[in-house]
Amino acid sequence: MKQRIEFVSKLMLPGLFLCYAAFANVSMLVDGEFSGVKEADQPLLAGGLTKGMDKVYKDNLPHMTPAIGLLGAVRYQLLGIGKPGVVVGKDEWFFTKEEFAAKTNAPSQIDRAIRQIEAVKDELDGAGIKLVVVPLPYKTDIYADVLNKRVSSQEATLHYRNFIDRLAGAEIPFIDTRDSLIKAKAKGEVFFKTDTHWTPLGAESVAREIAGSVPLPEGIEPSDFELIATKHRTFWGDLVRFVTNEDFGEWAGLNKESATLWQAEQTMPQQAVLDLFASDDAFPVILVGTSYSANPNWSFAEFLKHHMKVDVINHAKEGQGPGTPMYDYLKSDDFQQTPPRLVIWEIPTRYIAQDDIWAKAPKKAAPQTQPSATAKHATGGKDDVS
Amino acid sequence: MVFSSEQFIFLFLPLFLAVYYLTPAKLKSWALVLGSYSFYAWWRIDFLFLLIAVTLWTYWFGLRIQQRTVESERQLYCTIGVIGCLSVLGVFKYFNFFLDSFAVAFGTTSDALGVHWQLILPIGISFYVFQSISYLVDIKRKDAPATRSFVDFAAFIALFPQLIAGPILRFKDLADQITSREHSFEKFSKGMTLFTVGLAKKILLADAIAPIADSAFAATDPSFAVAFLGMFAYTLQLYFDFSGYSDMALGLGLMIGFQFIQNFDRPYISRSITEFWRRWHISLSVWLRDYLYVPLGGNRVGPTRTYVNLCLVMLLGGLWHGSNWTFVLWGAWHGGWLALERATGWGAKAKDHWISLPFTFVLVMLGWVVFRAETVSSAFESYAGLIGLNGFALPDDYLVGLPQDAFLFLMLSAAIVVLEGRIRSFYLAITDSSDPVGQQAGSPGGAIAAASSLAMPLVSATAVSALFFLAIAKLAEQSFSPFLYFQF
Repeated sequence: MKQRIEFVSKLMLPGLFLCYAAFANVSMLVDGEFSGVKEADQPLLAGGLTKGMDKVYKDNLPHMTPAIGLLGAVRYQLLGIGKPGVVVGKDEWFFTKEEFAAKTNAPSQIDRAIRQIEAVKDELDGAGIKLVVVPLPYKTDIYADVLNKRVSSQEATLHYRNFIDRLAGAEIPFIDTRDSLIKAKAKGEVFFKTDTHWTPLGAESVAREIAGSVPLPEGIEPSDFELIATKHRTFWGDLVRFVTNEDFGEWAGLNKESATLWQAEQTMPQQAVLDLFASDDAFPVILVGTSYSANPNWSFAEFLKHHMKVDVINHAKEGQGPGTPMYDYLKSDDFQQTPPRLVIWEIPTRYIAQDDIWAKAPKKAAPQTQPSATAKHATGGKDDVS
Repeated sequence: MVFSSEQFIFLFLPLFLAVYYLTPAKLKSWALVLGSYSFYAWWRIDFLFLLIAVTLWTYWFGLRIQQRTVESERQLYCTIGVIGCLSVLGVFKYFNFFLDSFAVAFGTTSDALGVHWQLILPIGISFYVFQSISYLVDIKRKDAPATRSFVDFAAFIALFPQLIAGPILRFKDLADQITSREHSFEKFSKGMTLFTVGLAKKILLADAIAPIADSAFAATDPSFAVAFLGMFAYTLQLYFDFSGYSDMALGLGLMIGFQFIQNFDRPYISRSITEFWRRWHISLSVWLRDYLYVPLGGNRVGPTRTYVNLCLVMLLGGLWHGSNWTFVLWGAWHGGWLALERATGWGAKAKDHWISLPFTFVLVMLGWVVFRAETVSSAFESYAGLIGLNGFALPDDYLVGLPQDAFLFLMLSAAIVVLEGRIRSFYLAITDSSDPVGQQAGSPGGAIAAASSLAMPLVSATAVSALFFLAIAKLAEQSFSPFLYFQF
């Protein structure tokens, strides 16, 4: 008996390890993971091929996704914290680390942002086009009350204030969105708890503020746009991936976010439609910005159409910061051939402290601290649509 | 390839073990050489040729020294062989450092001098060059015979468990094991357990507390709290990182039948710097003693020369860690304290003094500051923080920038350092099959004791297996993290 127990004890770890290693390699082989091995940019002699193999093993071992999800879920359940990249507040409120890390270089970064925005404004002015900047405050600024004690939102508020003061000083038209978001908080959440973005309620409050402050360009007749709820979507907030992954979200005790998708449909007589197509001002208002505008889950462009009573063409892009979408739009055929009358430029204030957002071709305006390569983008993954 | 990586654990290691154990005994050295060369080439194939060249050079000079009977000729061959090995180190590790220092001294730059070489530091070079030197010197001293088998010698130099970051082995200690060693299931299992302990030290402790040290040493004008936390965290990180690597190396060695020397023995309980060097990176201390301190005359040449020798050995030992003045200063710091302890007799007295342990620990930590700093000036920025020149508070943005569980792991690491001896004793007690508790079945309560004693190996094996899979799971969520000693 004693000998048998000792034998089993000695066998346990080597046996488990070697069996799992064999299983892992065979399953990766069967799944064709090795066919994706690509030689890295380095020559073969300098380890080019092996780096490709390293990536295959880092990304595709069978335990990777469950291990990441399980560890994250356990960590969150036990300690109430996530991985680097997220700051966990009270009551399951998550904040991106960017909102805390981006503040140190703010003054010089604001200078640079103002210069870049002025350059865009000058170009648009030259073409007789009006620019309105829509700076978005930090989520930490709007939801300071759910931050934990050891972190402060004072810098975030100050950063936003400095930015709009500088916009005013440079005579760049802008909309102060902070107050309207704070007012809208009384009706419901204006940012998602586990996502960096605003909710449709937050997006609509800002759209209403813009419509109330920015008159339609001269000669543009207002049209009614009716808001129609098209879908109800549930999804994992993008900050959940800094805690666990989709498979273990519920296990961690987290809830999916939900949003109603809205579509603004024009309500006008047929003749008016024909007149519109005959007009030189086919697309008088253009929206440029980041994922706050580009992602259809928040319906920002649709709310703008409804409240401004004008069609709005959305040139916002996800994952590229506020600079690149604007530069791309200014170079586009759309801009050259059918110049608008008004450009609305949505700029999240936290982005202006990032170094690469004004580059013509920034690599990626992704969160500064990335989770493991195997973690999938929550909002880019499966959405439940109802 | 890094031991704490998926490709090593799930590709290289099982594949190598399968090939190794299927290879007939006579050809096992070939399996070791080819496996070790594949392991090294995984990083870069081109630098494998340098390793082979050093191996050939050392092997050839070893035979020449052996063949000569005239002492002066033996000395000549040994000197040429050692110079050749040191030249490799000099070119790849120190050339640019000395050139840059020379240029700075004359108010210019190495680029302006037009002789700056873009050199990559080959990983493991400091270790395999030192092993080569010890081999030549041992033959010259007639401490060990030269081996006629090139493949055995190549296996010694390239043995993958210790190739990248030690322990620094000596051929004379390993020669018998290379030609013939025992393979047993028990050894393999023990090796796997040791590998797991090392992996856990690296992944679960060292990597978890690394951000505290990294952000502290990256801070400009750190406050006392930041500088102290950085120093303390790095002290623990370095220990768990390097001793973790050493445990993994020893474990891998055991899995293929080798018994390497222990490289760490709870260094942070040392009561003097002299004792610290008997417990920290033991294989390096032994190498420096046998191949540098003793040839310089050791302590047989009068007190003054002894102090000079101690300082010189530690200075060069510091420089061995890297081509940076920070390492020279670190070496001087330790050399100075070693000399002082010898001069005052503190090294012997310290054992019984209550202050000796915390005092030594503080000295060691202060040394790690300059060891960790990128430059001498940034080291002094940290020292300025440590004496409170930049205030004492812990800024909020420093805390926000850290993983929220880093401090938990820092405390856990500190507790393990304190309790390491007890943990080890406890583990050995419960896994020792000759434990007397198990032999008391006839006494009152003895049956229960015997049953629990019987189950203990099973419990400990389950615990170690769980630790292994926990480390693997943690590894899955973190990015590439090389061992700190890879840069040396």
